[in-house]
Amino acid sequence: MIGPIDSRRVSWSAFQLARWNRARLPLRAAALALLLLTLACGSALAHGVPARQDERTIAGYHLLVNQYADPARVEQALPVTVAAAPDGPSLDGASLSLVGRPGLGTDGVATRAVPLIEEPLEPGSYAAEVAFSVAGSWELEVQVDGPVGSGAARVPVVVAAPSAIPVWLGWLIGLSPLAGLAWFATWNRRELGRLMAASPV
Amino acid sequence: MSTTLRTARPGQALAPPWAAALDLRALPLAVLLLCSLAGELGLAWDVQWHRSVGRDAFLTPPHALLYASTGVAGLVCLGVVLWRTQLARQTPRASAQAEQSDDEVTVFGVFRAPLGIVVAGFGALTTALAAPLDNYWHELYGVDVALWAPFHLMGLLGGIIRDFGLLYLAASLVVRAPRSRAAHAAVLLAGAFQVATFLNVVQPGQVLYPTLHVGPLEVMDYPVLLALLVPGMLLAVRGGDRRAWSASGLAICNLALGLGLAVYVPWAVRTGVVLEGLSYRTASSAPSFSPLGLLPEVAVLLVALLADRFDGRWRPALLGGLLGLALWLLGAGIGQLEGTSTAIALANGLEIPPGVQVPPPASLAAILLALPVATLGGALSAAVGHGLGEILRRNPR
Repeated sequence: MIGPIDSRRVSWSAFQLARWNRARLPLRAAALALLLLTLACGSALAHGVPARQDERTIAGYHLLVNQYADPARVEQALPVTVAAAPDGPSLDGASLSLVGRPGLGTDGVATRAVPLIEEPLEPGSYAAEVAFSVAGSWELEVQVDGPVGSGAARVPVVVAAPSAIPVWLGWLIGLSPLAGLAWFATWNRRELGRLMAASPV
Repeated sequence: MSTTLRTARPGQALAPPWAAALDLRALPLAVLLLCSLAGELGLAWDVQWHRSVGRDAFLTPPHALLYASTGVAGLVCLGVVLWRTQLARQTPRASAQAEQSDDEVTVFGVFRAPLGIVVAGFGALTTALAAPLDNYWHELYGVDVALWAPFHLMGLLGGIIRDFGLLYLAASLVVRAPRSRAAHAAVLLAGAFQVATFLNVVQPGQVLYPTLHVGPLEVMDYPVLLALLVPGMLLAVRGGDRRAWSASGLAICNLALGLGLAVYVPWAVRTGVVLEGLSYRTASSAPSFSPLGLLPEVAVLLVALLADRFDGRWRPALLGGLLGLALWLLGAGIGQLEGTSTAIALANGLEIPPGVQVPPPASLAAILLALPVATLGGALSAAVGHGLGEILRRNPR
């Protein structure tokens, strides 16, 4: 039943609503943060679409090796997943690891071996991240050890350099402390004159 | 806590003597000397780590030690500057007194601190700035960027500036408390760290870059660089320490440091490789103790004996010429020995990383042409070092 509205009650409700709105602001912010976090986690776990896919057969396993950046960026982690191809044996019970090896002409050393871990949201897909210390051509070595057999195969990776500054600018910046030393030498020369005047011996 | 903006004339001891050692400068100096020692360990370890293992990340164990020591040194300097500045604001009278009595320096018109702290702080800042730039350079040009690369040199220049700061700080303690053995020892240690850094800076001249090309002329660079850097530091420390055997004392400290590094570095690399599950770059990359690596330190000791013998009797430039001549002889010998033994090892199958090229040792003409350059360089270095020594002998700041 709808009766006449009590004006005093309406004004109280408006006040209460305003308070409630103010109180809800932090709640809204927290909900938004949670949503963003969920999205970020989701995208991190799901990896999105591979930028490059290679097929390799290792000791009876037919594998799909996915890279999620092409080219990879130097010193930035490259997400990699490895999964058994639908027509091949499953990777159940197998252990997988990943090593980055410098390709021809790349002045680098191999990365540390990282194990590939099965993704909880995508059973059968094994993920790891590998970072390369130097720009150039690299090879990603996938090592498999499982019931079907053990072995390794490599897929190529291109690692892009950060944008380069000219070599002369590098030298200019690198040797710029010499300017400070030169200024300090001049200052010392003046200081020596002052100290000699104050204390000749 | 009382404010200890002391006033002292140069040469005047503060009584009691130990009070000077507990002055505001002594504790930061002790910490900074430890940081420099850690920096030397980190640098030598890093150089060998590059050769033996490579560089698969920025924060390798030697880098962690190197940059942690830089960070601590920078924070200590910053802390002292902020503390002294705040103290000067709270006690303007004492501040004015300190300024008149040459107790401290003012930086940018705002900050107050002992001169050595300011200089060491700028050095640590320079090294810290060089770290990300060095990483960037490696990303661009690879693992085997030589020590003579822009941001390696920037980091080393930071170390040199920091050690100059230590020298000023230690020498100011000697000015304030001439009888303090700790202050004298600190001067020798600061000088020894500086010479150790110099020896690291010039080391690529032994094998990787034996000659400098000036138009059609070739000059062997290792002895020239030694002559440009070492005599000046020996004479500067003689001025700051004021004892008959200061240069030899410095050289003995430097030799002891070199010996410690020669023992520590191979052990540290081997242990790091095992603990981190790494592998050596080539079959011959595993490091081992090599007494031949101490030849530069022995050369410095021989030259220091000459400096102690003739300083005060000969004019600085003339003495510097003699030291330059001695360093030419010793430096050329070391360079040729290292270059020739490397060439023989390469001929016998020594594996080196594919990106590294080793040129032949310096020619006889390049060695002979280095003689006048090293002699002149030694004279110039000694003249500058003598002037610096005069400052260190008088400067209480």
